[in-house]
Amino acid sequence: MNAKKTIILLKILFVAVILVGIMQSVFSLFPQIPNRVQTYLFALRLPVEMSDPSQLKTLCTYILICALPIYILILYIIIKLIQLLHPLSEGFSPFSRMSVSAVKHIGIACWIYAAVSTIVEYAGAQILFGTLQNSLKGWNIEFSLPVIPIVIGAVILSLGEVFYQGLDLKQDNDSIV
Amino acid sequence: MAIIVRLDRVMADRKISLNSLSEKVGISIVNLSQLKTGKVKGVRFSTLEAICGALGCQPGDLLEYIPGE
Repeated sequence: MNAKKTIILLKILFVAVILVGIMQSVFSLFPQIPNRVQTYLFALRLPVEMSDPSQLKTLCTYILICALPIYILILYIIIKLIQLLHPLSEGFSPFSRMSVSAVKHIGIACWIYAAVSTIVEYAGAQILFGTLQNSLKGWNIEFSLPVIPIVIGAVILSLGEVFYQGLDLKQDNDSIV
Repeated sequence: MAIIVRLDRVMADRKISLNSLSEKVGISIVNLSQLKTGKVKGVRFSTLEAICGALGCQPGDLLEYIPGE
């Protein structure tokens, strides 16, 4: 698949993520099912049974707030990937300062997401549900630091270093006529 | 850099411009200009061969080693 087609797919994905976010926001504002909730978070179905249907809207709002960091992260990554692929689509070498910084920014964004999502989930629960002990009846909210984004961020930053070496080699090669 | 490029001297002797040499050798004017001013880190043998062929000279005419530069 060439770079231009990939960029078009990324732009379509960008629009799709925004539409999913809007749909989730609408669902949070107007939840329909009174007792049994099945909510979608990026195709992940979370069945929740509640004894108190009045907390349905609160739960949906909480899920939306928790989802915001990942929406922002995905949109940011798509923008950076488009920046990364743009020189390739124009026929230029991908080894440029802008590409290297795009890769590093993606890695750092994954780490920032890990920290922000934990804080947002905890703070959101505190604000919306009061203390953790008074959370939804029979429903516990558990928190943990998301390890996968940290690992992915480390992998991407390492790839960024490799990219940087590639840039150095390219510049060296360009200075040989 | 201890290696000095004397391309400008040989070009002046042969009375050939940078444009003409670029067309004969098949290297861009930018690269040739960088070579002439010594702003390159290296020269490929293929480039040296093309320049020597175009100017009718030896590689030693184009490159000079001055230690301590």
